[in-house]
Amino acid sequence: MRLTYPFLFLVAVLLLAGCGPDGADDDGPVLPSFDRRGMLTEWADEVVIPNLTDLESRLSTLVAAQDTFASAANPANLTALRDAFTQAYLSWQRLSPLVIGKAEEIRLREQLNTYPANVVKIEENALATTPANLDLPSNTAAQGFPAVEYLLYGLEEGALTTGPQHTAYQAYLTQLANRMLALTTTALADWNNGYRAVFIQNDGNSATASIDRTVNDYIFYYEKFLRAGKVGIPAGIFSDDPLPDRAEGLYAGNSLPLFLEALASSRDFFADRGLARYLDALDVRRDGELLSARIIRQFEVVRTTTAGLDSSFADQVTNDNQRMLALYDEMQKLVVLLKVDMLQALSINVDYVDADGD
Amino acid sequence: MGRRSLSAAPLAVFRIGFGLMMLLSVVRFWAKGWIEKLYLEPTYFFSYRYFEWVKPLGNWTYLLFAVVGLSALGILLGWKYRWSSTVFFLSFTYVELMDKSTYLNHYYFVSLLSFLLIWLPAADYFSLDARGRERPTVPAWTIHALQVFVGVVYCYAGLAKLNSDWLLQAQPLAIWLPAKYSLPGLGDLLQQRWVHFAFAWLGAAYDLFIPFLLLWRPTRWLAFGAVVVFHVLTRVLFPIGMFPYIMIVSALIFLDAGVHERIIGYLRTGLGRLGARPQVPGKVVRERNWGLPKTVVCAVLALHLLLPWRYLLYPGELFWTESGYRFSWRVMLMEKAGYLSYRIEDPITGRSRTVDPSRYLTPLQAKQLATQPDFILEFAHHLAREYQQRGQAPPAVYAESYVALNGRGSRPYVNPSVDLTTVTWATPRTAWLLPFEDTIYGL
Repeated sequence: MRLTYPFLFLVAVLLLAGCGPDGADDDGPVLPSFDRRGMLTEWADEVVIPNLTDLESRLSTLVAAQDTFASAANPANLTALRDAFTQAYLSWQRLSPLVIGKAEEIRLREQLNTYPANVVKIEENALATTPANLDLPSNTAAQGFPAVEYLLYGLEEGALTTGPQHTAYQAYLTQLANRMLALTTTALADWNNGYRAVFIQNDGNSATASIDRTVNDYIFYYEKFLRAGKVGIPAGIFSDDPLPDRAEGLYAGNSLPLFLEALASSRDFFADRGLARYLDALDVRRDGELLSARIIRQFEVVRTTTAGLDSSFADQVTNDNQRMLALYDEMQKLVVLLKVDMLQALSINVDYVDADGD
Repeated sequence: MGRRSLSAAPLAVFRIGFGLMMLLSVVRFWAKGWIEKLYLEPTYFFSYRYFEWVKPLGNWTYLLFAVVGLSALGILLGWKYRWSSTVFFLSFTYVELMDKSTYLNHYYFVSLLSFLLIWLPAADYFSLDARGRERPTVPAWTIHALQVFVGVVYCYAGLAKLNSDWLLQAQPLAIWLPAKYSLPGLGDLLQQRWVHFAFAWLGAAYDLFIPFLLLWRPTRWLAFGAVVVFHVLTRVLFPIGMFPYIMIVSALIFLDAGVHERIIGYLRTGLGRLGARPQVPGKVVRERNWGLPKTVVCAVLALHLLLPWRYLLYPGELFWTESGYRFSWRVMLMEKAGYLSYRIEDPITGRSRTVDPSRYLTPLQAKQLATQPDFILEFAHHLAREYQQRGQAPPAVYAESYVALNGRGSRPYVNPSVDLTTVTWATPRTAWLLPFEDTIYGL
């Protein structure tokens, strides 16, 4: 054989390789044993868009209830306002595991639910002569659900209805509610105007494809916000002592219902919206048991561990932190199952690491 | 290693190919922004033992990479070759020692190979150094040394695959291949269990036998075709950067001298007058003393042959403890994922807090940390030092960690009741890791 033939062969194959992993990305996928595009469609149509739509509608109700309250600040209207707020907050908890797409881009989570609320800043903004600029990072903790909660539950008795500053507080409340609604509308509009298709079509297996990114976001939420934010931080896992003032729902005292709603939403996303099926399609077993079943069971263990907890986690960690620590331990087991076992089985990298391997 | 002489062309082609691949690697690394990302952005760097003093140089790191690139160019051109290859070896190795989390077997391959090249007369022919005084032959051992070097890499990679996970479970391929579902044409096949086994067995056979098939003349071209197909396939399936190309170029050393003569012939024609070889008449080409180079090359090859077996000196399952795992041509053998957090306890008050190491590290570093004992220990000591520097009492540091290996369920990894500040690098890892509780048979 002369040099030319192998050489040409070499060149041809190398050119082929050049179009390999980079070119063969996200278009024209084959869907062999499991319908990944179907799963993405379900995530968009049955999870993200309905949850955003529900949140938008609850926030509209909140804005309307605030208008009514502003026109007649009586106890009945305050109760209705508080009720509208609670419903919207619960709706947020259902959306919370999947804050993706435009919602992620505009930092919806940070602006809607950073707690503890910065009370000093809230007072300053409410009593200022000009409306506060809520786009400023320094105002992140002075808006969203925790700030509204403070105004509705944390002020002195009557301060919002008849106190000397009640108009200022009400005006700030209106500003906050309108902003929450506007942000949610922006996030939802993007999903309805084209992003849905982009999301579903990006069904390849690269680190930037929809499945990898969504699953990473979902696990990140579970670990950082559900486990650490709602439970671990108030229970003092990351500090020397418990930190009751870091609990969610500090002023309304409803940490537990908020937590349970978020937990149920996380569980349902895993169990009913594709991930469990995906694992089963790959026949992923651990110690003879389907991994999906083990994860669902652990979600159930976490839920039952909350039985008997105080509705206010601030009170719970103050009075009997052992029970919060026990809840944290059960949640921790689920982090390992999701982040180590599930990600390995699905061959999804933890976060996007752009580097070579060998 | 007899006294025979062979054509100098294979060494010259090898030098040019190696220099070119290294130059391209540096350019690619730079262009992807990895210098910034891997060596400037992190605030903490994991060190190799005895090389704790090797750290990135801030913005001077760019200069360091420029030195690597320019010395690679020097090798390519055969310009002041001994200096170029020495500078390349030193600068490249320095880069690799800066942060252990970027360790790749093929970087080690490049470091070792570039050290070997310092001692070989690869610029005696068709190089800037040799203009006017080319030597058309080199001692046979210089070419054989490279063949042995490359052959051992393959062979050892093949031996390492002779274990029950690889051969009987097709792990970790059974995890990696199905995830490539969107590859045109291949995606469907990669879901099949038998395909995982076919890849595993063929891969092991390829690694084990390819050096011999390359050495044996009747199968040489067939084997070289297999080299190209194999590495291109790995390039398509796995994110392994320049490595496949480097190995294809390395395998050229097995081809007949005639092929290399012709390659150089083409290059000379292409270069026109620049590539001409005006021999200066009457210039005396001195006989050289090969004593030292030969000794050094033999020593490197001995190290190359022995180092991978050092794992036998350590207790415990190699894949679990990773004692002796690096620098051993163990490639693609493990899918290891982990979770790790530290608990720092004040020994006086007994109060403790949990620390998430990813707060201090890049995602890549955190990923390496979670599954590798030497990383876990080093960072535990770092956290303890940091607490002390803040004026607090020397704390106890515990790790809560889980590792899943090759499709087994996640298991607790570090013994959570061991205070890692009481552990040193000399403590056997089996003393502070929990047992593996499974057996992987084989080498």
